Amino acid sequence: MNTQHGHGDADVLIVGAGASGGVAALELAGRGFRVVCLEQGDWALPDDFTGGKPEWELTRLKQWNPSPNARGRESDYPVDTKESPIEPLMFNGVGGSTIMFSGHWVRAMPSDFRVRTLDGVADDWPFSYEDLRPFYDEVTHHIGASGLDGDPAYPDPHTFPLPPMPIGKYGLAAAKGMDKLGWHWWPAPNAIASRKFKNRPACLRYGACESGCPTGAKASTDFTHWRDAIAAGAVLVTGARVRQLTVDNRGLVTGAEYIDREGVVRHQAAGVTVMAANGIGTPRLLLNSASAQFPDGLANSSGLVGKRLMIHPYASVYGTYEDELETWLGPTGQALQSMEFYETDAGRGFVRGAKWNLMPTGGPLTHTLWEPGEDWREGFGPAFHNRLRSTFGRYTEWGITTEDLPEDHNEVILDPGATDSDGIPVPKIRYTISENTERMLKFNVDRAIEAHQAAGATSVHPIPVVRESGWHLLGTARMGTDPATSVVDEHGRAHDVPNLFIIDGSVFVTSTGVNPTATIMAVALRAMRHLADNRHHQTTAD
Amino acid sequence: MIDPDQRRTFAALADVLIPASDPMPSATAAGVPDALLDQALGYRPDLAEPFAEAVAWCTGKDPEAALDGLSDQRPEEFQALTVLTAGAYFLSPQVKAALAYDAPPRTARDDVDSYVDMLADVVDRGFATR
Repeated sequence: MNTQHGHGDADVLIVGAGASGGVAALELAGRGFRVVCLEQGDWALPDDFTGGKPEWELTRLKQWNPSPNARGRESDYPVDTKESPIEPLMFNGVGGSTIMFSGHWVRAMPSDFRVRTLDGVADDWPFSYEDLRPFYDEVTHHIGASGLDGDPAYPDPHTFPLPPMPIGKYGLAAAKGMDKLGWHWWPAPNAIASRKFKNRPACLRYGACESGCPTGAKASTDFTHWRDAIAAGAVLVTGARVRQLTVDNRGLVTGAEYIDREGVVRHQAAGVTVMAANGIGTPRLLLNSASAQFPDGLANSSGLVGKRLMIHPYASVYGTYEDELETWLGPTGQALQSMEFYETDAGRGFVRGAKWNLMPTGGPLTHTLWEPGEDWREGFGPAFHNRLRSTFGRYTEWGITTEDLPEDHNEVILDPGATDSDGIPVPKIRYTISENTERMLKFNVDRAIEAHQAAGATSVHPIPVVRESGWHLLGTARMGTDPATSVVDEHGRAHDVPNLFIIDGSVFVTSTGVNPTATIMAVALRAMRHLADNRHHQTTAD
Repeated sequence: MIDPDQRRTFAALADVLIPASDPMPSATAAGVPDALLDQALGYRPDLAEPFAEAVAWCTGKDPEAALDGLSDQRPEEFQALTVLTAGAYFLSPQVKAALAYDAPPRTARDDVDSYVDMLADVVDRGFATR
């Protein structure tokens, strides 16, 4: 098959148009780089989403399901999850997984960057919270996050450009419960516009954040970055599925081979290549780019590409309340968050901790879904209406995001026996929940039960590990200072390939215990600004 | 297309799954086996095949016993049947009216005033950042 040319000369090729890819494109195009981005998916406009329409609850289970395996779009690739208790979630399209994320806009804590020093586990990051703070500030104000200054859990009173989203009746009830227990809570920061912000209108509280915002209020990077990046000259090619990165005889990356929607294999050349394809997509492509020069995969002399997958095992603890609390209202989104059990306390029997988020529970269909193995009479027949009366509008979730520590055996590998619709090997994940995380889950679930009870819940329903919860795909090409024990340096440059950068969640040294998008975008901004500032010293392919 | 025999079988199953309970109508009273089923299948064409297989398997059987067998032996088909039944039910204007809730859209007006005094306590409690 002949390989056709891509889209002209590029200084920088970006693979993936999601959270970190959007940051890279806007920063670099705005600084005068000729940028081309290859994205396997398409644009999605607010009217494409079904929130607020009659079909919403049915389509969010399939067409707008966050699992690529359930969704099965042409733009998706399957992920073999037979050896994982957690299903990875993502979206492939302009905006990437920010299209379907719930918008929890949470900074990591200072301790997250020093876990080896403080707790004797895993590794410290190569920079500190203070180093990253200006980039958190910049990206928070750029994307238009909503929140309230002054959360005592953080050492600095970081600000938000928009007032907090309403916590609603259910938020107030939960806050009263937390106060009875003397536990930390705060109106939660969200990457959702509580008022009109730049090109986004204010949220209309459909509660459909996780199936695509029908209002255009959520800070997905198609709105926050891509339109401006394109106006600044970036070329965004959709329907372009990268198969592998190419290298020259100097060991530099020369761009990427990709397959367009007509099945034509093309090559996009670039002086510098930036990987922004998420913690599964990036190691998949690096491993699939093995060559005589790089027999174990590109940038993989450490053997760590694909290793140390962290995915934040997640527990849900639902409470049922007597009062009507309007729990069908968004955002979804988080109303409250709590860092009460975030920091290590040796007396709990595990290290590190978890972040809690209070969320609503959606429309009526959600409460009537049957799961295999369940006695159907528990939710249908006469019980149908009883369940609906007790849950719809009266059911809230304390969600628990736990910090899983990096372990080499948790990994992304290429599945030798399966390919996607373009013949590219699919990724397989192998993941087990560690004993430390199991203890962390149990402790936090028990506390969340107490939180609901203190708030007046009449019954509590814990789910110790939610299978469909793997939004946070982290750690599979970690950063560090030593090429023997890390894949990239603190600015995302691959130790082995000086014109290859990785800027998505793959580079996380540890997972932190918070939703990672704010950190992913801050780290990406820090890396790409460094690249732009040092462009005259940057090695490039011819 | 769902033929009349399939609709009759489905209607009997649907009323076992969702009987009436004042003020909520039964599935058939809400119109589930008619246009609402077609509407739901229009939203979820991927469920047409398992739905048809579920109905075929239940045909000629006592509805309640059929649902026992289907849920036990053919969970994927039972799941398709129940998702479509409940999904169609909640499309009914009669059901929406009976649920009597103030659905979105709603302005995202901040409600800090309702909890600002409580926040002072949170701040007073402090936090040991490491």
